[in-house]
Amino acid sequence: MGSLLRILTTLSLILLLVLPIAAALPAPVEAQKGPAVDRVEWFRVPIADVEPAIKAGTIDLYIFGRIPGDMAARLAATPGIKIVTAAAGLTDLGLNPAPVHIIKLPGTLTKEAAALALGVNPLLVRYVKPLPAERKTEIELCGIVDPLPKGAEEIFKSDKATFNPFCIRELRFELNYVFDRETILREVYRGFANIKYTFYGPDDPTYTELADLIAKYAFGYDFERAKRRITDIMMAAGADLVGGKWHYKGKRIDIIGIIRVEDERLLLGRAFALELVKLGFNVIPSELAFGPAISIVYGTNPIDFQWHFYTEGWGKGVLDRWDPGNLAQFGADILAYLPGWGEPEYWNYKHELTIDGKNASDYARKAWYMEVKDKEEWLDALRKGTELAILESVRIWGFATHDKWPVRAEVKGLTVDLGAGLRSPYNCRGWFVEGKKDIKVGHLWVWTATTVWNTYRGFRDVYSVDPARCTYDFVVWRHPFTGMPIGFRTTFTVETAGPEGKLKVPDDAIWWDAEKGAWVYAKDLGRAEATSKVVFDMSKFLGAKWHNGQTITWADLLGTLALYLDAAYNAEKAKIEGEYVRVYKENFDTVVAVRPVGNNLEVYVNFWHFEPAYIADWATWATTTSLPFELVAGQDYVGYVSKERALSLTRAGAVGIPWLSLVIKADAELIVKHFTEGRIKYDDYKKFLTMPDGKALMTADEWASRVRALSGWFAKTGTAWISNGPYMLTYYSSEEQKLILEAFRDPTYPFGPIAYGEAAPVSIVAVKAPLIPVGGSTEIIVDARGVGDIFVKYLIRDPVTKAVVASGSAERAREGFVIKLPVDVTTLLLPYAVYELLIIAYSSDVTLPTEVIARIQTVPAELVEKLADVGKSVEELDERLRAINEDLLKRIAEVRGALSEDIAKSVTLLSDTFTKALEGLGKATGDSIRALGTEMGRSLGDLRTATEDRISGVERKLATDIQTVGATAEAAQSTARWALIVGVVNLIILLAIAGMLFMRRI
Amino acid sequence: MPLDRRSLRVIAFRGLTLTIILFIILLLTAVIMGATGYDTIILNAIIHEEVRAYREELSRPGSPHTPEEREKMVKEYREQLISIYGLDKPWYLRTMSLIPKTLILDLHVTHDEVAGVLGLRRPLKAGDAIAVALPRTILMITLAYVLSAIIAIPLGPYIAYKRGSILDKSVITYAAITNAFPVWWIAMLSVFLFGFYLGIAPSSYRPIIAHISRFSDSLLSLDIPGALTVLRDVLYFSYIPILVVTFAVLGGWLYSARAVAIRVVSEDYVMAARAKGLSEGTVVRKYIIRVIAGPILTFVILGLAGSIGGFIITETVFDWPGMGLLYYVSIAAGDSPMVLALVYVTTLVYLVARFILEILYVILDPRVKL
Repeated sequence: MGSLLRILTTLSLILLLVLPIAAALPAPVEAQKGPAVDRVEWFRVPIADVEPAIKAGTIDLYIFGRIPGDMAARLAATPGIKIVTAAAGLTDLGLNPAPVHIIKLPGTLTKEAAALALGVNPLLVRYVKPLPAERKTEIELCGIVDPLPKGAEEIFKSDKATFNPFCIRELRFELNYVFDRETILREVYRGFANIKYTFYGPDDPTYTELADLIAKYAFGYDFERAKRRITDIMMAAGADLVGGKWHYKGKRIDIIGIIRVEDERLLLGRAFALELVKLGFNVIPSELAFGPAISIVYGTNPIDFQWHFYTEGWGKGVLDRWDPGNLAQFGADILAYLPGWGEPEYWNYKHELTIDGKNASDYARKAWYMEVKDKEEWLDALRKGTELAILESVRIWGFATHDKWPVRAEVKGLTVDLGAGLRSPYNCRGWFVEGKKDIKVGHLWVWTATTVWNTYRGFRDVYSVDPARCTYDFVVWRHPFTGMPIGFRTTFTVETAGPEGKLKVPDDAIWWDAEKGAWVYAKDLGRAEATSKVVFDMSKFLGAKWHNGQTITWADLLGTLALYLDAAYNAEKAKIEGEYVRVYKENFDTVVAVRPVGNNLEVYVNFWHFEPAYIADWATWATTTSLPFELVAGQDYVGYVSKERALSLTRAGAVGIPWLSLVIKADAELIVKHFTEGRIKYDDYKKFLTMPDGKALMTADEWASRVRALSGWFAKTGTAWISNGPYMLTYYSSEEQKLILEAFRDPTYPFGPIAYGEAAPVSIVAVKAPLIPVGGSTEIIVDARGVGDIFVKYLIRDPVTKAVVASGSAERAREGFVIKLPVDVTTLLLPYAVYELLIIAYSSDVTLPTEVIARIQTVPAELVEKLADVGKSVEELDERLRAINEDLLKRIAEVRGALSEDIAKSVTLLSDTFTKALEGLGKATGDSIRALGTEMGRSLGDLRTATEDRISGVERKLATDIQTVGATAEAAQSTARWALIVGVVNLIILLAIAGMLFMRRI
Repeated sequence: MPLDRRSLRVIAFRGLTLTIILFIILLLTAVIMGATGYDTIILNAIIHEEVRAYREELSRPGSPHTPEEREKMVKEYREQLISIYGLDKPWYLRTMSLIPKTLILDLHVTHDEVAGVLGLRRPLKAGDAIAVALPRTILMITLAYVLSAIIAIPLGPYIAYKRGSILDKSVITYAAITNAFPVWWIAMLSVFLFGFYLGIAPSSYRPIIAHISRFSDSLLSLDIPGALTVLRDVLYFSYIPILVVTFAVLGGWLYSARAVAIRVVSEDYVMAARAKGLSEGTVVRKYIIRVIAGPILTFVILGLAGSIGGFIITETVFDWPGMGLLYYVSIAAGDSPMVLALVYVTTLVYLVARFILEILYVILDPRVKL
């Protein structure tokens, strides 16, 4: 007992000594939470003011990337300013392929049969559509056919045009060769663009799988070829060149070009119009701004022929590793972007070509809706659809245009996102100016009438999206250099049984029952199976703080989800906000159930993708993390209960009430008042927070605390925008066009500054290509360097026809990446020819490809064998020569030895004889030289004296002359000065007199 | 001076004529907007864009809907939009029905960008939009016109009186120079010079909207100290635009006032008055000022009335959304109600000014008979 006491006493003493010391020690230093700067001042700067604003330091960067190329080039050349670029837009020439004449003929006819029946060239027949029920065929014609054969029924005959050349597919295809992309890139875009031959290009990661296909159609500018072929096509179709202009049935063929005026498309459109004129078309250019242009192109029926070509421009979103969107949007009818635009009253474009019986839209649909079994099938659909779209050429592709963001050089911590550029949300998390705690950001607008911050149907423009993304964190976002979905404030795991299998949904998984208005077990709703399961680790959200100091709980995650699901499935709410239902319900339809387990959220979805990360991205439909529950409830109340505000633009327009925006003071005040005056009640919203087992995720006290915090936040900031990201929105003025973001440095916030920097694309350092033996095998070594796993692909194509002969992937080896060309490949090559070797390299870290074109020389394999024999003979000869050489050297050495002795003796003898002879000669010569020297010295002395005298004389004369000239010059200058003064005075008097006379006459 | 019955009758007749003119102008505007199909094309394009965006959202991967279901939903949405924008009615019903409402300004802005250019959002009455835009234009342009008038009215006749002096010649040269340069160009130079390079004025004038709002709020709530504080900001954001417009228009005004005065100064009756031995003050007051007051007043009143139409480009340069920009955006967006309201208000102001002038002529110039 005594010893135990002693031990306890000792321990107590130790503790008493240690504790104060421990308390005195500094706390472990934690890295600063939140972004790199304390404050962001974000305000409007019109484009015209960007240049002086950034030069004067009024802004540190400009986040609206559509500044003119000229301005970007000037700023790029300005010291202290840099231009960040990213391919963020697409430019093409949209063509109007509408027919001028539509008829029906009896029977089921092919294109050729229809042409025969009408007595025209098949080129004139754009499309035939059998109508089995009527036993007729509908025929679309590119030129008026008159007279029609007996039995023909006329459906449409244009009174605006007799012929539409762009209706003919073959002619449209040829237009690719009259679009001088290289010159336009250089002269118009000033290099701020990439050439595109179709809607996929080196600015898309997906291009790595399509490069060989697109390489076939690398259309160069070849006016002569195009002119020859277009002339043939036009003649065959029945058109005539009269006075250098194309006519059809005696009427001139006019082409109306709608050319946008706001940007580089003006010059691009004019250049294309000029090419058409050179081809013999009468072009009527119509240079218009956005509103009038789209009114004509998208607001009129293509068969009204108010336009024939249009300089289209498109924006691009984030980088996407596997993107079927371009095909779906530009080459297919899924999203109604083909002429006719899906308008039921308009004529709509129908595909003319198929591969394996399927057209471009069929393939696009497979890729877009993932109606495939694996990645290979998906890629196959994408490739076939893309090729069909190229061949149909409804759009002549030109460029991936660069957005250009000017940034002052002292701004650091940027992430140059390959898709979103400076608009990437990573940037505001990392940007800073050395030596400063704040940063000034310019945007074209901070607020417009459609800039709306509400989480139901707001955020429809970049002016709301850009700053808002700095205030909240994402669950999943795209990697800035690869385009792959990555966990942002979560990590995730994916399990899938797709595309055809199903996983069992656990019995305790839950779902919102909008009919009952309660959370229920998913199994009770028959939701027992799902294609995939994604588990999100939400621990970086749960327990952290909202900007107003409240803690993020499951109430925020599940309660908010319930509110959104209720808006989509509650029949009463659907009547109020139909737009929300139309847009989101079908996405929610794919989510089967959710299951909170610890800090994990399991999401069960009926969605499959060959890339698991994409399934996780899809599952974020069930993760709602940007606003605390009470603010979503507030939106719900004013939108569905009091109906004082619209949550969508459609309802705002239909009912005539304001579109709710949580950053507008009047709206924020309205919501806060409803809370503080007790109209938005805990009891009314408790059901969204109550689990099927009866457990409430939020207590009434917690609700009251949150209402107080919300009210305090509004009093402080004038907004109702509370989130959880690196910045708090502390000021917003729609009138001033200004907002202020302040750093959120709460210790529970998980991140410090984030910056990825600039991507390091793979660089192809060298290509070592031997002579390629036709019919033999060989290897080409590619030295490609970069970060991450590198992939090298290649294709060999004819440099003239662009026909791809071979393609494949290089293998990684010690010496580099090896392109193995086996016999079956080289036999496809012609001997004594030069081929283009296109090498495409990309890495796991940077998926945008790097391209290099090398040239390879082929020779027959026999020649290579013969060359090998010759080489062998040369080697043997070399060996023999070496032996002879050695023998010769040996003999020379021997001869040199014998000769040196004889020469030494002879040289000694000769030397003695010379020495004696020279001694006698030396004395006589010495005397003569001395005498000569004395005489020469005297003469030189006289000459020197005379010269010095002359020089002195000249110097004196010069000095006198200079003085004289100086005096004269001064006098002349004085006179000139007076003359100038008198002249200026006279001029002023003259101007004044002229002004008076002029004014008097007026 | 009391007006006799005949004068009153004639004034009433003039008033009636001007009212009829106002109706005709409104009718013509409505016909231009509607019968030409201008607003229909623009509205169709807007509907098309919205439908396309909707279709895109509807067609996301993973969509459970069949293409037929999607098309049905798109169709319903399109019909809803057509109804919202009134395209389900013929143009004459859509546009002509606006005319009676225009007279009481009971119209609503139909396009977001029109409301947005003012810093407002829909729903927004056309009258409210004008009530917001008009003070901004008055602050910059009308105030500059008033300043110009204050300077030009006394100075113009004075320099006419001192014809041939250095001051006279300087004013002529100044007028020629300011006539040669567009106002917006001088505005642009001033923004770059005073805003970006010298830093003695704002480089962005957009915040003036907020300051004007705050100033009027303070006045309405009788918060005079608050209003004075905000007034400082208003002045800071407005002094350059006011000075620029004043500088640009003053030359013309001075020259016009001088020209009117010169004509009168050299009239025979003025010489006769002098010959009669009248004092110079009497000659100026009774024989010169009285006569030139009419034309100068015409110039001033019509100038002030015209100023409320705003300057489109100058307002754009200063990022100062007043009547000029409101006009431009309304026409570009095809917002028929707003265009009608603007035409109505500006024409009304002009015609009222004309009407006032008609009366003032009688009062100011005894030679004028109605």
